Amino acid sequence: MFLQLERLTKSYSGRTVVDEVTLDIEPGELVCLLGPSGCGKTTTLRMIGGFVTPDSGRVLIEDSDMTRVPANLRPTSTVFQSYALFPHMSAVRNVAYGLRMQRIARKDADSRAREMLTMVGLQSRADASVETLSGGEQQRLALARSLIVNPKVLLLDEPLSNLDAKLRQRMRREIRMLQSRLGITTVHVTHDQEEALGIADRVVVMNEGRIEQIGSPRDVYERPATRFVAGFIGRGSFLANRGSKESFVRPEDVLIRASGDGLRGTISHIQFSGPVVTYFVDTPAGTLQADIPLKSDNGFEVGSSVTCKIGNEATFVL
Amino acid sequence: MLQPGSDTVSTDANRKERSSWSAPFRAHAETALQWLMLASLGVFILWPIAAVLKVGLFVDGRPTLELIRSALVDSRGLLGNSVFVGVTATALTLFIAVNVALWATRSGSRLSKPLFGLLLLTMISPPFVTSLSYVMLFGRRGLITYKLLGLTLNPYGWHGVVLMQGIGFTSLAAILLIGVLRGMDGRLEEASRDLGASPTSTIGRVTMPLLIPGLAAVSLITFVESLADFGTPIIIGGRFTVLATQAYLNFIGISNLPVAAAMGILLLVPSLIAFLLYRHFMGRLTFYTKGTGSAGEPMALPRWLLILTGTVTFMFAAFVTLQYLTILFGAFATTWGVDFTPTLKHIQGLPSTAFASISRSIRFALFTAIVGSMLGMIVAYLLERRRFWGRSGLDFIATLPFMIPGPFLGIGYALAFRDAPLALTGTLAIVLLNMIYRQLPVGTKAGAAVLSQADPEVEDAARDLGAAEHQVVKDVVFPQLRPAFLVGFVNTFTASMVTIGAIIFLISPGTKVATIELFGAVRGGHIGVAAVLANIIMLVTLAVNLFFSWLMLRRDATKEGVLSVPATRAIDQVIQRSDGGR
Repeated sequence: MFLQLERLTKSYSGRTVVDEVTLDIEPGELVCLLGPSGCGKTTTLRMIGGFVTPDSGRVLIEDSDMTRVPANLRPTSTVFQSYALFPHMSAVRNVAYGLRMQRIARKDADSRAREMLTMVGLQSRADASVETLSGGEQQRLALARSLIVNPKVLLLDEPLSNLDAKLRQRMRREIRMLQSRLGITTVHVTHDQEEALGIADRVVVMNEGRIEQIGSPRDVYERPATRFVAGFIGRGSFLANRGSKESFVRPEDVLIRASGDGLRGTISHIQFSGPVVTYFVDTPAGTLQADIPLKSDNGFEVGSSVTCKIGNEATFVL
Repeated sequence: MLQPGSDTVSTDANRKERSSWSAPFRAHAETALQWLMLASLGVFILWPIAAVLKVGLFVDGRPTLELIRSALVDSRGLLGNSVFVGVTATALTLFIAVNVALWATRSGSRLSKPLFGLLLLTMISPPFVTSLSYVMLFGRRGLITYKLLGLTLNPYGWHGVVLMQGIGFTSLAAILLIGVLRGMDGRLEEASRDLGASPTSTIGRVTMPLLIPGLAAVSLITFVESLADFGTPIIIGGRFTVLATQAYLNFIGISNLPVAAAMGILLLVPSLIAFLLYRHFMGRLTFYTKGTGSAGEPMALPRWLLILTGTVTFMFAAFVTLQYLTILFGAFATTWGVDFTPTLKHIQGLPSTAFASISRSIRFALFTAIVGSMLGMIVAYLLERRRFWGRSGLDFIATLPFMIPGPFLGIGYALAFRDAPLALTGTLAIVLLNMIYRQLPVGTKAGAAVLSQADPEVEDAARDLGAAEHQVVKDVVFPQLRPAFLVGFVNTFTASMVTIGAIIFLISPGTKVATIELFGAVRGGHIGVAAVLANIIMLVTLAVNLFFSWLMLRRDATKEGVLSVPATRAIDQVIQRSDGGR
């Protein structure tokens, strides 16, 4: 194992924010820690980076114990949510800083920093002051500054949350391509499930300091292990079942027809969102969402009686 | 293109090599620094305070309120006088300052800028300038009362004290309130208008409530300053005296140290109450300055308010201008009130000690500004970035000099450093130490203001990239603190140039400074000489202020954000300035 977290636990004034988190990460893997705010994902990341000391548990990188090693001596590097660029240094000085800390001569450090800036497409802004860079440029600069020290583990703390939607999509692609090209082991923290599903090799879903599920993006979407994961990732409907059970249905697994076998209900609301039309069907078991591809939509109206055929469902014990 | 792996080995070697020494070194150096700061603040702030309490509350080693009682009885209502002047002067200051601030931010007049300049200029106010100009304008031979109106009035009494204090403290208060008003989220007012409120209701229901924290801060500062001010009552109070005056006379005049200490304690009580009230209320109030200020034009004032604020502002500005012109021309008038023929005789006739005193003032102020600001930066760094035992204690002690009236700290130094182990009476050191620790909040607040705005993740980023703790401080913290150091330097210099409240208890002939010289001239009735001295102090201070403002604006042209003054920063600024120690 390349990076191991062993039963990491951290409390702040009596409140446990990270609770026995155990995780093994392979070399070159990109793992996303995903969860709502306050779920402990950022604290976990900061414990890997050495900014927070765990109350108990260990952090191991290539089998050596890093738990008590201060941040400056760890082979990790973080891209901070705020980017945390040095405001009093130019872009190239920011990137060269980590090399200077390794006692590399200024000239050498600067020329390598310029190469790195070229790699992230910032060669023309090398001498610009940090404040004059746009949000996307600052993001790339922060990435370049982390990558230049050749970290064994790259830590990304919600790196895209300050960008607008279009730019976020593009940076997501760029980060993933750069990461696979360099083969750098990466832990990425985000609350944006679309981002996590789109970028990760494996997704770790966290809630209230605990890991709910670890799996490939497909796994956590198609086979949610807990009710929380089902509700947190993607959309879907919970239906009351026989006894103490509850089933969870993704909207794309529902077919609605005017008549036939299935769950009977009445359409209460219709939402149009481009490629699909979402019908909200009130049934005795609860409200069911059904995504019907635009091409095969039959144009039902609010108030129509329909039957729903459910293709695939997950069942949870209440 | 990056070369993965090529320098992994050297990096690891480097890391191991450094880890062998940097970690223990770091831990020791930092702990030592924390203890050193705590110890120095203990000796130079807490001990003097304790010394006053000991002398004022103990007789022959037994705790007693005897001295306090005799101070209260002997002084025949001095405490009442002090509080009365404090409350009325504060009310007057608040009234003028709110009007000026509203007009300056909301009238849209082109005169707002010169008005702000005038306020800044008049914040550089040597002690006694207001009382001196009062005597020159309204005294027995006053320009207005005697020369223009032909009256011979006795102007001495509490009216003059309240009036001159109220006007004297207004510049500071108005600048603070302007800062709060400018920092206010203008969209709140827009929302109020949008929901159908008239400009008058908006001012009453949105603007003023949002201004309350600012008003609270202004009231506290003005009240404490008024209590500590012994110069104005001693010059124009006539038979009306206050605690600060009487403490001074007891100490200097008849060397009755226990009574002086008891009076100092009486002076401390209302200041502390004001401070605690302020803390209590401020704990619940927040500065609503989130958001990026107004999106559009500031809301126009309703007509009646425009007229009111405009009138008050104009009268205030005219009076202040008249005051400063009076001082300026007073330096060149043969005999003020009798013979206004221009002359240079006051300049030529300056006592021989005056030039030495002026030069001393400048050197002392420079020294205080440099050492005090550096100390302030260190304290700010410890407070904002370190978690250690005694941190909140350090915070409290470092703020103490701001809320303690100057005379109290002056008496404290005189009492604490009389005897061994630190017998400093009559030395240069006692004056400089007093100035440095008295002005310490100036640098501390400036540093804390910058650090609290700076993202601590930036320092994490440096650590992350391999910087050891001392490198983080050198490469990231100090460069960011540079503007704070300059602000602290200028403000400490200004405060030190005009300070008198505390050091008057510590000065010996060899350490006499310009403000003491000025005090002597005013008390001796040498109006011309006093005016010359006041002008010199103002010019020197102004020159230094302008030079450093220019330096800051030039070098930080792109970083205006650091220097612009949103509400809480304005508070800090005022807290820094207010410590001027009149």
